[in-house]
This record gives sequence, structure tokens and C-alpha cells, in this order.
Amino acid sequence: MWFPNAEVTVNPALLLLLGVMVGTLSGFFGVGGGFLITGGLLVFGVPPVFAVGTGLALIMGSSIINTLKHRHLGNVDLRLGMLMLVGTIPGVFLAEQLNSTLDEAGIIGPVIRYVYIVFLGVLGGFIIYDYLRLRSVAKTGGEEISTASLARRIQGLRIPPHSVWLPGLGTIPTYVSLPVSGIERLSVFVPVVLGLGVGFFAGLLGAGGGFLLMPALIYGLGVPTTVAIGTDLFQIVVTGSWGTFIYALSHNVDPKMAIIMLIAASVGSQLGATATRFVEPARIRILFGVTILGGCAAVALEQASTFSDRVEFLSTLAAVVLLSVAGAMCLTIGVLMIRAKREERTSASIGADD
Amino acid sequence: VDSFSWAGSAYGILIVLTPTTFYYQLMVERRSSMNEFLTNFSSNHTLLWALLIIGVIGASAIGLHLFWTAVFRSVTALRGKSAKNSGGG
Repeated sequence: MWFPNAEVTVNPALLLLLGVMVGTLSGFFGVGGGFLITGGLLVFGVPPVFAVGTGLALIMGSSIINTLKHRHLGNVDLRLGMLMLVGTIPGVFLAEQLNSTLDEAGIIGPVIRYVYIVFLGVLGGFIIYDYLRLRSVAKTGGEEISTASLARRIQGLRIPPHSVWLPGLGTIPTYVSLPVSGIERLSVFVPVVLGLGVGFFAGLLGAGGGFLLMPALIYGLGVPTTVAIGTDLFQIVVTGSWGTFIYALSHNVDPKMAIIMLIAASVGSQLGATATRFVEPARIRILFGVTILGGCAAVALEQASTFSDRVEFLSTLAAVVLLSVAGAMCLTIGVLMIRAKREERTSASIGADD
Repeated sequence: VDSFSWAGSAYGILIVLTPTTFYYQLMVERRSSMNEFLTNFSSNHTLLWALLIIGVIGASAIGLHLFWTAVFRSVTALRGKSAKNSGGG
């Protein structure tokens, strides 16, 4: 099929397959899936700038579908999401300034790739370490995390000023209660600073920031895994829309390609978001950790391919690794959901027999 | 008899092929005019183009969500109805 804006011919079946994978992973992990979309589109022969722009349009669309689905499941903490947005937007602007400075210096490509490798490696490694550590202590599949005491300490932070005066509203406290996240009292400055940090790194790396925010909410603030996924997606709607708008202004989005992938992503979203109801939170986290390490390996291969002309094939290998990890994860999610549903049905029939 | 059946077959093929060919031509024309529109509009109206993309993607996402919600509701309703019938029967 011919895509007039990107001026490229791509097999629509491949776009549909990529869309399903992105939708599933986005709904299950609460990430935009930018690294996967861009990598996939580049393999299909889409020009890099259109791969990023069209990818952002798909991130925007699939995160809207997933946020609505997770909201229906009661997994979105709108209050927390709005507070983080206050910090996310200036964070993205700050990153844009740094990006243009790095671009002028001609080192933006390697810097972004090295930051990506460090972030993905550390995060993926920590999530797997956390899972294995808790597993060795006790057989658990629930919400226990090894940073629970850190999360409690962050929740207990008392940051001045404790109240502010606003015209028309009078004096209002700078502490909020977040019942959806199970947090009784939290200083508003904590999510704002968290949003600023995530927005900055998301802007620097040219991503939606989901892969940073989801673990930050779970391990830093102690938010339940499913609520972290839903709230994270709400953030990505805003960052994805902004990114799409910027890329569309410079004519780097192919709407036809984005719509085809979005239709497929909506199917995957139903699977991914529904699966969070059946799969244990600890399993969601370990699968996320493995996916992130897969992403880390892919970026490392991409960086290695720039060292010499002889190893240029590593760039293609990176995309293949990324797509294979994503495909394997989608299959695992499907199998886990089917198994959990079967177990639920069996236990229900046993209960009925009793 | 032979010539009659040949003529009949040819007439049948014509009846089937003519609308198909017309439909195909129409689709090709429509597709090329849509491609032309997409290329021209994006280069002539930058801001409107960006807003159009945001609007189309957003509306499609909401539409797809509503579609899937309706599908799941109907499936659940049908399942409930069939379970009731099998329980009652």
C-alpha cells in the first residue's frame, strides 16, 4: 500500500501486526511503546523522521484507548496524573533546550543512546532483582515491593510551604489525599517534581516516558501496579498528543499509516488492559523488566552498529531483537490471561459444587 | 444451443465483470484523489493539518473504544441470555 505523506510503500499486514503488538504491550505495561514502533517502522523501510512522527500519533491514539479502558477498570488516578502533568510539561521544554544544545554540538545521537542504555539496563535489572529477592523471601504474587519503606518515607515527606493562598480560593493546603492510589496524604510537590524529572528524560530521549514513570510510581511512590499503569497512560496521552502536534506541524506524520496501526492497536489494547485484571502484579512487573532489558539490548546493538561499516548489520539485528521480544511478550500475555481465566472458571465451578 | 450458451456465459461474465471493473476504477480514482488531498493539504495548511491529525487520531481512538465497549457489552449480554436459557431449559 502507498502512503502519500511518507512517500513509501509498506505491506499493511505488517503494520497491522505491529499495531496489535503495540496495543497489547501498551495496555498491559502502561507504556506508549515508542521504542518498539520506531524500530518496527524503520525495519519496514519508513523514513526515520516519519517513523518517529507516525509512531507518536499511534502512541497518542493507543494511549487514549488504553486510558479509557483502564479508567473503566478503575485504574486511573486522575488527581495524581494532573499533579504530575504540572511538572511534566516544563520538563519536556527543558529537555528540548538541552536537545538543541546537544544537536548543535553534533553529539545528540550517541548521548541519547547511552542514556537509554543506562536507564533501560538499570531499570530492567532492578525490577528483575526486586522480583527475585521477594520470591526468595516468600512466595508472593501481590503488591509487595522491596522499596516499600522508601515509598512510605516519600509519602511522609513534609515539604514547606504547607499551605498557599490563591486568589478566589483562599488558603489551601499543599497536601492531597489520593484514595485511588491508596495514599492518605502526599505533598503536592512530590508528584510535581516526579513529573518534572520524567518529563525531562522523556523529552531528552524523545519518548512518551512511560517506561520511566511506571516504575517510578510503583517503587518511588508505592502506587499499586495496575493504578500505576492506568495513571501512566493518562500522562502519555498528553505527551503523545504534544509530540504528534509538533511533528505534524513539520509534515512528518502519515495519518493513513497511523490509522491502520491504530485499528489493530485497539484490538491489542483490549487484550493487554483486560489481562491486567487476571495476571498477578508481580508477574506484570517481571515481564516489564524483561521487555525493558530486551529494549536495552536492542539500543546497545544499535549503538554498536555505528562503530564500523562492517557491523552495520547490527542495526537490523537490533530491530529484530526488539520485535522478537515484543512478539514473545504478547504471546506470554495471551497465555497468562487464558490460564488465569481458566483457573478462575475452575475455582468458580468448585465453589458452585460446594 | 452451443452458441446460445456461449452468449449466455459471456453475458453473465459481462454482468459480473462490468460493475467490478467500474467499482475497481472508482476505488482507484478515489484512492488517488485522497492521496492527492493528503499531500496537498499537508503542505498548504500547516496548522490546520496538525490540528486535523490530532482531531482524527483522537476521534478514531474514542470511536474504537466505544466500538469495543459495545462489542463486549453485547457479548456479555448474549452470554447471560444463553446461560439463562440453558439454566431454565
